[in-house]
Amino acid sequence: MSDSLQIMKETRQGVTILHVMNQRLIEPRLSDDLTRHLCGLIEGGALCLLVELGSVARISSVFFRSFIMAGKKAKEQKAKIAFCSLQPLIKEGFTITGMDKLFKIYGAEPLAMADLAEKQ
Amino acid sequence: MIMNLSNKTTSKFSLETAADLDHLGEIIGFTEKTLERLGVPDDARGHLCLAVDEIVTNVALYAYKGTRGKINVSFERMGSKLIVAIADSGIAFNPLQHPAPDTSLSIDQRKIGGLGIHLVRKMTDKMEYMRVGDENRLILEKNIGGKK
Repeated sequence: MSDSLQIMKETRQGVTILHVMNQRLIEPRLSDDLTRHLCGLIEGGALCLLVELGSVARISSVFFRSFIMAGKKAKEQKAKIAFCSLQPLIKEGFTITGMDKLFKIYGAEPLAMADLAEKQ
Repeated sequence: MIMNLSNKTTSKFSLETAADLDHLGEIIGFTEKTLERLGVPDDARGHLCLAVDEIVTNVALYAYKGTRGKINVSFERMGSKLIVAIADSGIAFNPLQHPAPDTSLSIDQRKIGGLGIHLVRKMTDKMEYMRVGDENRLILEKNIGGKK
């Protein structure tokens, strides 16, 4: 089990892309780290965050809590958060918890970038 | 840790360990291996692993209120059903009484928590709770196909 949150960050065409490298997002401690990370980027001026979850095979509800907290912060700062490359089980979790109604969910990353970069 | 891989005729596997977040990985690893060994299909395995993770995390965070305690997780295949039993001796908590969150609310109105039990409900086919003596016993049932 991973002890740390593994994220690769890049910025392209005004979009801050976060590639989450953990296979499992289940540990509550990591969800606190993710909340801090996402909120920190928004507070630091990032206006468009794309969270790429292609490597993540499992995610627990504590991480949906992180996304909601970051979503509230994004709304406050007039920023937006979107997600892409969700594996089937993750997509199911997003649907069950209503995350798909709170955030824009894209298929593959290029599709997300084509849409988000155009709007920047 | 007490691991009891009992006889193959009943296909029942159980693990008793400390109910804290340091042991979450051990429980999830045991869950994955056991479900694979019991021939549970991939999609159902994903659902069950997530359900076990949610319940175990709840127990680790809230059941013993800072004191040490144990959790027992067991798996039994009964034909086309997979039965998961999770027991702890923490404070009484009936997840079936936990209200479902309103997932249609906007980001402003959404509450931060309350999604774990909702996920467990949706990812399993049946949940039963009993308080027996000082023990919480939660039974999860999932149809996994195959022989009845």
